[in-house]
Amino acid sequence: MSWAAHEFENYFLQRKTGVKASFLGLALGTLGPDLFTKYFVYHVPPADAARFHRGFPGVGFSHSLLFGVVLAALVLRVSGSRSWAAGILIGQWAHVLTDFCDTAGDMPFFPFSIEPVTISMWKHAASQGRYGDAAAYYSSLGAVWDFFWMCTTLCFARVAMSRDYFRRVVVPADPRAWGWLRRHTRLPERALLLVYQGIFFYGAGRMTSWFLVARFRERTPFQPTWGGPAYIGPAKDLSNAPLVEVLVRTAIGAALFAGFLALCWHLFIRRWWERGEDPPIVGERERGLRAVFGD
Amino acid sequence: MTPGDLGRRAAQSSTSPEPWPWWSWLLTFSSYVVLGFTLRSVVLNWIVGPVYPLVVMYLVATGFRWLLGRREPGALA
Repeated sequence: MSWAAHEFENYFLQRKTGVKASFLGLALGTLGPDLFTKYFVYHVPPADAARFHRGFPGVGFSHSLLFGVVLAALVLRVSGSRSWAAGILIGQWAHVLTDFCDTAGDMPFFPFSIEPVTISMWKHAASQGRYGDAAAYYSSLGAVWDFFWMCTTLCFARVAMSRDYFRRVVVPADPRAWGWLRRHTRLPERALLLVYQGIFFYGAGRMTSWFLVARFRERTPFQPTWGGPAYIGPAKDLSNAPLVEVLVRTAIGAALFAGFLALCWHLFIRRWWERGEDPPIVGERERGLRAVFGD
Repeated sequence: MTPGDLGRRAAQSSTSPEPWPWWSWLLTFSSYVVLGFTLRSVVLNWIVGPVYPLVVMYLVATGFRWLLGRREPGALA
């Protein structure tokens, strides 16, 4: 699993999607798969933690592309907001793709394929408990991965964290939610900006803190090698299938998923999408929004 | 006011200064890392983490200013 990378991705994705995706939707999408599952992952017997988290049976469905489609479709149906639906879909899919990196992988095409897809960069270590998991992650290439995403965000998406970008893009992409926050919390713009920038802060803060915890409290060795860290022993793959079999099953799953998605689109999602609305700024091709904050 | 009204009133693209200086971020970040290292999951969770800057840089600072009798909107800056 990735840790802080999921927070940094939000700004990168927001920079790429502009006003077409709600930042709050993106954040919910990227955090969503772990939000309601992580707690339970640390409370199942350690031997079952990886399968419970990413496999089947378990809560592995939360790390599938279809789960993102279902969530986004429900949000589109209930709220009618295309930017929220797009944000949740893109964010959740980014989470699924990022979690390929550990040894447990995930099932992107569930339920059409329950074959985990993984590149095994670092060990899935939920069996070590929360602190042991954090220490193992920040002793492996996971620490490098998080640091890479932080640098990428700072280099290519730093502008997305500025006040101007917040005004020109983030609020216009989601005027209802930010307006609601403004009205109900009575927070000024500079405080809401802290809410927006808080996700990056959280990513950088917990990356640094857990890295220091791993080095100076848990005192685990830093072993950033492929498939590390070595000190927690060999990883148990969720599947023993050979590579060709994995590829064939995944390809079949992908084809069935694409067909199912096309069918759903024609049966009802397209109708919901056409009924939904873009943020006003998208339709009017304007830049800038001061109406929410007035200054 | 509907979202449509909000969009139609949109008309701003000039650069505006960042409201929070780098040193307030540095202080907040340092305190978060120290607390995170000490208390671990009490602070490093997805509820406390993202709102920590809001609490420290705006709410706590505003509270202090209010206690000191300076009622203008305040913060670390």
